[in-house]
Amino acid sequence: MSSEADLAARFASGTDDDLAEAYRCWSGLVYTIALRSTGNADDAADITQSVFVSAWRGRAGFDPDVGALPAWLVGITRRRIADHWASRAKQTKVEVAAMTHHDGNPAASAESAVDRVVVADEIAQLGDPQRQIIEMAFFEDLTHAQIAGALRLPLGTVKSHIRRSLERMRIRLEGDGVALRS
Amino acid sequence: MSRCDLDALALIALGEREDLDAEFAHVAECAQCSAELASFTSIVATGRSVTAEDFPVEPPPHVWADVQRELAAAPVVDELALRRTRRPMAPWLAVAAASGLIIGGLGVAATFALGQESGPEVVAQAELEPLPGNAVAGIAAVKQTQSGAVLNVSIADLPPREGYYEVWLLTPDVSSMVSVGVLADDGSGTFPLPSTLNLQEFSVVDISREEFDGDATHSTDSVVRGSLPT
Repeated sequence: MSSEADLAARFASGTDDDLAEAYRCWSGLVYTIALRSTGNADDAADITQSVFVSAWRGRAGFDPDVGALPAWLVGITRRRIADHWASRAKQTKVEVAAMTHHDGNPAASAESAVDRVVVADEIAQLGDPQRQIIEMAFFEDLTHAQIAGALRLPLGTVKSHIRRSLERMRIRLEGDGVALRS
Repeated sequence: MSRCDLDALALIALGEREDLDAEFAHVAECAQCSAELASFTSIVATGRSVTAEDFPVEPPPHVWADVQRELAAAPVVDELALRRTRRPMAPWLAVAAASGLIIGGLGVAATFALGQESGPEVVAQAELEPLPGNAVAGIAAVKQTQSGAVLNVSIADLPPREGYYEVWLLTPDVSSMVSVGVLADDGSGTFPLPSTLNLQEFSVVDISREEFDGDATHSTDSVVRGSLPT
């Protein structure tokens, strides 16, 4: 199995196999962003289909030197979600109004859903102990000293893992911003 | 502390305070560290709002089948041809276009008839290159007139046919398109562009063969294509 970097390099002029591999690697990311943004599994499936069809038809426009392939796919996903809300707004203003009353603007909350899923995906891709460390820091509110004690790791190791994991998340979040303009 | 300690900033972003007095004092005086801390704090806020449902799950199995079916049913465009046409302007032309110096008919447009030479200013233009299986080429230019922007298209030696040729503006990823009109028999046309149309977004000029079949969508049979500079 080739690496994600190789896939990104091939994708713009790729074969059907490259589409299948991209789908295998990132359909979960795209689908979950759509699901968390729309709250509807059927809409999320439609958006996922549309994202991979557009990505494949537009693959010549993907430049691996500008950003990562998943970031590019997330950028397309953001646009499809925006299209989804725009067409919803036209079709059923009442329904959208009902959805907005508890949670503000649906498009804006969809944007934060994208960030949450991207961060969750990055956490899921961290190996241990990095993943354990960041989950204890984020979700259990433990200090780095408490984490170091629980995992029997040096303080400095825990600190640098936390910092590097935050930096990885930042790259993922900023990369999607770059892809959005592509 | 007088240097930037990123590990400490990460801990501060997570809400730790113990034994970090020196780092706090430094951040207050260091713009670089303040910006770094703000960035980490924003990521921590997003991270702490993550719930179990935010972790990626696979889509239902039918979605992959649907992707393959849609791609097989409508091979809309030859994307490699699209990339081939996306060629940078000659540097002198880019400079001239950026400074608004290009007058209609000058530059690479000189070999093609672009309409009234003394007319409005050309603000962007694209060479239209043949897609595979086609031999014609042409040029498209966006001009600013007193009544708004127009797209001027000219294709040399366009073969006559039963149907007609339609002019489109596409997004570079071909995810969206706008029909701007139908070419005259001589391969030329001038089409008003709504001021609301974003040419940074719909930057690819495309000409398709169309039949009188009542189907208003793109036939997927493109003849020439070229990208306006964005």
